[in-house]
Amino acid sequence: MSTSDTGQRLPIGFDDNTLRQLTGDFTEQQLLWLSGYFYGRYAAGPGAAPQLTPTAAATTAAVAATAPATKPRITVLYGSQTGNSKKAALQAVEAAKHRGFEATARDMNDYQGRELSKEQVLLVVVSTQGEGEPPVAAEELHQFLASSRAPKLPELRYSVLALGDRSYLHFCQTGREFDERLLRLGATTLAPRVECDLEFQADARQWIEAVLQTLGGAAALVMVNGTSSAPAPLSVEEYSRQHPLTAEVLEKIQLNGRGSTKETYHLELSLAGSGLRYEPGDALSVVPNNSEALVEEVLRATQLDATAPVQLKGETVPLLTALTERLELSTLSRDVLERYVQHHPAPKLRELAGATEQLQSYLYGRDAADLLVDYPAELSAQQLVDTLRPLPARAYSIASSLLAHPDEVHLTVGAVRYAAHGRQKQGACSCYLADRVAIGDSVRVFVERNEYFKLPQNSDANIIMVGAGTGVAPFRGFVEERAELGAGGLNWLIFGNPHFTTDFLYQTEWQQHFRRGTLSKLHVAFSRDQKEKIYVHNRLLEYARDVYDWLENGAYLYVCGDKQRLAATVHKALVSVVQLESGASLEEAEAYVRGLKKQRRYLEDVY
Amino acid sequence: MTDKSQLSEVEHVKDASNYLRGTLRESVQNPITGALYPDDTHLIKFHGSYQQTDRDLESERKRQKLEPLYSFMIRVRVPGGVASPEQWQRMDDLANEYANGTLKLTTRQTFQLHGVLKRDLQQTIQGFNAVLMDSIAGCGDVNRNVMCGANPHESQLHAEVYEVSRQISAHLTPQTTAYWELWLNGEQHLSTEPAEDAEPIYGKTYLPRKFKIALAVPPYNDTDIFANDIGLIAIEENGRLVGFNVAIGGGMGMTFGMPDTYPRLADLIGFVPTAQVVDVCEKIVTIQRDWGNRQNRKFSRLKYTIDRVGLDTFVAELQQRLGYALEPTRAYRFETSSDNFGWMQGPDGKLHLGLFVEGGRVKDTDAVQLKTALREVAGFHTGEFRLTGNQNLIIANIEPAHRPQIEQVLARYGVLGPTIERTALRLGALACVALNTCSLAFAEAERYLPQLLDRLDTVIRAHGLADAGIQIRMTGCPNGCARPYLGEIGLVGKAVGRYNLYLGASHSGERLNKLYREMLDEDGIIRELTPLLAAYAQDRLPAERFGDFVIRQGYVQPTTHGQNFHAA
Repeated sequence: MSTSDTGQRLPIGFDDNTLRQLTGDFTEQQLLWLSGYFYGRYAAGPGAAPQLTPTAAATTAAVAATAPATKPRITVLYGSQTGNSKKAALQAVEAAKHRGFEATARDMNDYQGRELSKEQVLLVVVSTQGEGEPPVAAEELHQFLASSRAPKLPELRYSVLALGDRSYLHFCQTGREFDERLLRLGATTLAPRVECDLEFQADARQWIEAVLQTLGGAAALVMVNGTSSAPAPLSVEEYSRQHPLTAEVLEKIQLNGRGSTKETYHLELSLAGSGLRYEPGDALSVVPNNSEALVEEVLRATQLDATAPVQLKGETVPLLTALTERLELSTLSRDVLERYVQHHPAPKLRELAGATEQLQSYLYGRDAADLLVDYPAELSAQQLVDTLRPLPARAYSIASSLLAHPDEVHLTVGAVRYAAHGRQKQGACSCYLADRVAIGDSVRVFVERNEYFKLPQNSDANIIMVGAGTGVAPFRGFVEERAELGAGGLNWLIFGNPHFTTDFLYQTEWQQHFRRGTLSKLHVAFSRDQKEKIYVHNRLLEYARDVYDWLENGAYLYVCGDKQRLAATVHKALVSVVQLESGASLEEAEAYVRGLKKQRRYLEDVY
Repeated sequence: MTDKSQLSEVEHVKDASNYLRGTLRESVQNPITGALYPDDTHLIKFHGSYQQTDRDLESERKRQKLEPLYSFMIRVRVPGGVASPEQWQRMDDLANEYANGTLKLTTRQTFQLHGVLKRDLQQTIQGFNAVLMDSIAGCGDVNRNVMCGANPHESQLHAEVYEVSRQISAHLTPQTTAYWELWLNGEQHLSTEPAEDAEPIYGKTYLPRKFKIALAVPPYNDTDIFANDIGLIAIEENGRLVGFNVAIGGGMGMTFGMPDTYPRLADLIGFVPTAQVVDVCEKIVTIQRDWGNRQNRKFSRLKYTIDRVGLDTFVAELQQRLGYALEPTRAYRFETSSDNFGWMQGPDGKLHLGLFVEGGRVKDTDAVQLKTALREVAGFHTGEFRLTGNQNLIIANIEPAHRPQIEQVLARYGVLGPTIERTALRLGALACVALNTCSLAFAEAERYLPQLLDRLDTVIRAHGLADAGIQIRMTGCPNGCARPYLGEIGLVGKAVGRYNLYLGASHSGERLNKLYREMLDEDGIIRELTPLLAAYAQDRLPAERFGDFVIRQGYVQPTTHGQNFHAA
């Protein structure tokens, strides 16, 4: 199997393979630095290059000379749900400042639509939720832009960084809409919209660079102000998908009692010596390996040789390694199918790729092997690798507090297993942890900050925690943290799962917290223990008086668990609680609950 | 009067409980645990239930950060062990719906359900109530289920004795309305303004300890009356009941390492005509109420009260409270404390079928579907079910026309076949529940005895003793639920897999056994018993029982009184 002929031809005589060979060992940061370096050389004119090597100062001076005399004011407007958009926005501001711009980050949550007409350069960073909805923080501005009240913005230059998850159909929908609406209002695109998948960091950096370069702030300018020769100091995550921490598994416990229909694992990982820090509410991403069985299925369906070498991000690895460690196999997403269509021209598949609803129902419950079996195609190992998407790490809400467990991080992982389309399917990461990782083994992890799903700054504030199933995980960390800190605020946990005797996750710990007062209220909803099903939202309604009183007294309400089932029912229950207890109308109650979200006192960590 | 500060913990709980209410309602409703509050675990017993855990899963669940798997055993009061087919079916339903799918027939002729979760307690008890059964005083410091000889040969006499057992049971049932209030939503207690509860016989702290009464009709001592606080021996004249010989102060329990605790057989104190027997029982109960030890529950049973004050003093007090003297004991003779099996016919022509129920456990296995079979029989049977004191069952007062139908059902579910092949040793065996649910157990009993018997049967058959009817009884602790100290072979668990071996009780339940060997494992038990059984097969006198043989041969000394049980 040859890969040499698959190299992309680039414009003006460059060959992608050659470039890759030249830069194959370079880190992302080196590549990024080089992009600025070459720009500097270009900007300095043809004669300047030889002098560059010994002294960088000449270059930077030259670059500075080319910059416009007055730099535009930049506003980076972010609409964030988990904090990733905020993170990217802050990085943009930082990079802009380093290039001498006046730049401010603004939360859409606190931004008035009419301020837009005063902006010169607007950089929008926004994520997309669920089925293409904007994050709560962005809702109002998003609506405003589409309304007749929105001002014309002929002077405005803008660009959009859209965050999303490619496995969703409405990938980056909100970012697209911001882009369209700003364009419609007469604004000028500064740089094309960039759409990022789950791992957004690299794309975000490129977008920032592109935008700033268009605005005339060359990367090399950094050196004018800085003493370091390091590239643009975009803040660096110490551990990441590319550089995960290898952490030893100290403990692994199946939490469900015998006879349970659930299979939930408690994992304790060592952070000793790593310097890795997290806060309760953060998530830990785990880099899984695909199961041998699934890799086998894929190899069987494609009739490819497991040892065939393939190129992956400038690296040559055997196909088996790529399939096991690097590529997503256990879920099937739209982008994969769209790429696959190129190798499989059957009209039926093409039709499917174009039809949103049929596509969604086809993707549901299917994995890469299903696609390869359903629509067999002759494709090379490299083509297969290029068709599949990178294997994303899976994020789990951290279930511990570093104060309670120094040098440890705990996870609560529900093993996902189901039968679909004739085969037993497994959650890629949950079953990796459930079946293929034992005490003493190591797993690759990194922290995903969850900006907003955090304990209140004011430790005297009360908190209501609503968790179903593994959704109880962050609350274990919350309560541990507040217990360790001796926080004055009261803690109320409402937990739900199918059965009391087998599925009361961390039961003895909650009982102990309750006895000690570190939990002042503890309510449970075991859906299958009685004829009528009872869920956590039923308990919210049952204790409506207390819920409302707590909220009125400034309590924070946290929801963690299943996005489809939990988030919506809890929301609805809260609206009912407010109606019931305050006598408000439905509209008023909904506004009240929306207000809680805007104040970030009603926080969700749903998946 | 007693210094209150010296009273045992349970006495304080009873005192503060407002006639057995305590905080049971809150306990039962507390959704975050399957357990009751500690004080309420004492009170729930009076309502017929013990809080237990699945000890097999203890360490596993602890690691899983789950509390122990708490569940409740509920004991239904069945005076005299007589249940209607409707009641049988209900118990069968409740076992499936709320318990572990089995029924335990106890050594006190009651039904026990095991594995009932706290949240199902109320519905289970309501289920009893719907067929006029209750669990009041199933356990606790009160008079427990009144036993009555189950052998139905003398139908008329049995009916009269059974009637007396019902009267005693009713008379000594606690009067508190707490049971109705807690479990039955106040049903049966809808009379105007609820009057202050009162317990005319017990008082608000009830008895110092449990209290047991059993009635027997000679020559059958299938209720082991001498193991009871009050044993009543029916005396008949011309086939009619005239009264009872009264024996007092029996009890099985003891504690390892405490020689001051001992099993004791009841002492005969005289005869009472039928009309006064309820009165006599009441007065004995009240003396124990007033004189019994309330500081240390290990010495609270009537047997210790009697040995402390002396039998004469006790009887004198009794006669004073009665206002009359007991008559001299009448002649009687017990032959056996075991059950009869197979078909029997009463003088009225009705049939009775004695069925062996191994370990008293009514369940379905792959080989034998006893539970299903009995459920089907209950569907057409017009007589009753009699639970025996030896954990067996008599389908009683069968219409002769129903016999083929019953035989068919029992054959279809494999119930009759194996009975024929069983040795008399196995048919007479008793075992308490022990592990995994009893919190007191040190060792296995019900779950293990059948396996041990498989090995012992080989020895028994090898020596031609398959029909010898040696009584073997095993318990998981020394408290004596399966009356091990009245077993011709008694095995009392001391640790997992280790048993003390006792020998020399009389076959008729009239002499306690004596410690022979300690801490035997299974091989040790077989090794010790094999030569004894061989000797018995060879050297026994005609009709000599194994319990008598080991004494005549000097293997053990006879125990003549509880107080010399521990003597060598």
